Amino acid sequence: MILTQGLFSLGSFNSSTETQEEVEMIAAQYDNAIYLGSPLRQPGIPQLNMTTITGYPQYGYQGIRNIARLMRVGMEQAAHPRSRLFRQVLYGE
Amino acid sequence: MAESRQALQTTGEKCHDPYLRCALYGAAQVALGVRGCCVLSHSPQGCYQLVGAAFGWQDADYTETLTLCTKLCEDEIVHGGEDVLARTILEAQELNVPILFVLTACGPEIVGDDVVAVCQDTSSRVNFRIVPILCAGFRGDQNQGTDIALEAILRQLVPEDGKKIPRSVLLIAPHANANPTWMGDLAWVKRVLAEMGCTVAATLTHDTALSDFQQVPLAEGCLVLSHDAGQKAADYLLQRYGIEQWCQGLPLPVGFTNTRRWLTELGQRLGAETVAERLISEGEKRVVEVCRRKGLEISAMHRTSAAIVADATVGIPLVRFITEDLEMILA
Repeated sequence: MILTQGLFSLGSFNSSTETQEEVEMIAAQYDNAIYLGSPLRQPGIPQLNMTTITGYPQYGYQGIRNIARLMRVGMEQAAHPRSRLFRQVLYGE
Repeated sequence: MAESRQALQTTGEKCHDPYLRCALYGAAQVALGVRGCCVLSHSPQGCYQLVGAAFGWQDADYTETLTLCTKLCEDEIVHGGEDVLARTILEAQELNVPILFVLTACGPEIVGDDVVAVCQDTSSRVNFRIVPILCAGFRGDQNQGTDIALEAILRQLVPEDGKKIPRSVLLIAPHANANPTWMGDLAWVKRVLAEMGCTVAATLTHDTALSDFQQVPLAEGCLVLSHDAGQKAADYLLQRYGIEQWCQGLPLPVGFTNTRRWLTELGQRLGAETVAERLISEGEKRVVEVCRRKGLEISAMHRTSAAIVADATVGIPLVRFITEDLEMILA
């Protein structure tokens, strides 16, 4: 588990952009990394949406099943490009 | 296993959208899109309420567009209603209308009323044009009714070929969907076409002047603005007048990516690529700014499954919109 600096500087657009850049940089160092977290980040690797309410609860037996399902969906959809609309809304690119 | 598959296929073939009304309703929508016309429903008065609903869907103006009904009862349903139809057509003479569309319901067609013959017989005794449209409910759903009426109108009101108007287009079936804001979408289509230097020769149909039908053969291209109806009309226009269909096979412009594809193709057709690119950039900028202000629920949508309940006009573009732009997965 890697905690990034941007994770702790909450609440601003700049901190969000900083976190995105950090996650991208970390992901680029591994061949087979998986990102578990918010879909607000776009590291360009298989990604689990940990914040969707359809994945709750994330603890106990049901939580294990939910995480497994999210992981399966994340791997199955890994090849799909991220939305240009989302990226422009989030990062203005 | 084979039996269940067969049952599934049979069910699929018989599956109808429960939200669709019958062919009479679709035909009435097309007819009432002609400004200042008169629509005569040769039907019981129960079926006539469909004409009233179509009147509202087309936003027709009751000071210029009129509707009539033969109000068939037991006698006419058993013995035929040709007499009452002829009498109603002749009485419509007092209304001073330019054209009369005669729509048929199930009853008179089942009992064997020769509506076309009655219209022909009475046409010499009135000073307006009569267009019979055989659109009984048993002929299909409202989308098939739209196709039936478009074909009848194109065959009966559109003249022979003429010299093409450069960069002109026909807009087909803008009303044939379940979207209550379809008139706003139509206005947007007309605006972007105008910005690309394109002339709308006729809209088939919404607020369409009777004289607009003279322009139909002169159009270079056509756009079908529905995935539910209108394709048969486009095929007919290609076969009869060589009018090419633009943006065929593309989802209608709903969402970011669909709109980019649609406008890009139009720009290429009209030699207005730069204008199309500007329209796309301005539109996307506006969408992004609104999404930032209103808050786009990305966490709720990313890689979550979704089911779509919609007609084809909205549903087909939505498939791409929610999977490409909103990153969702179809259930």
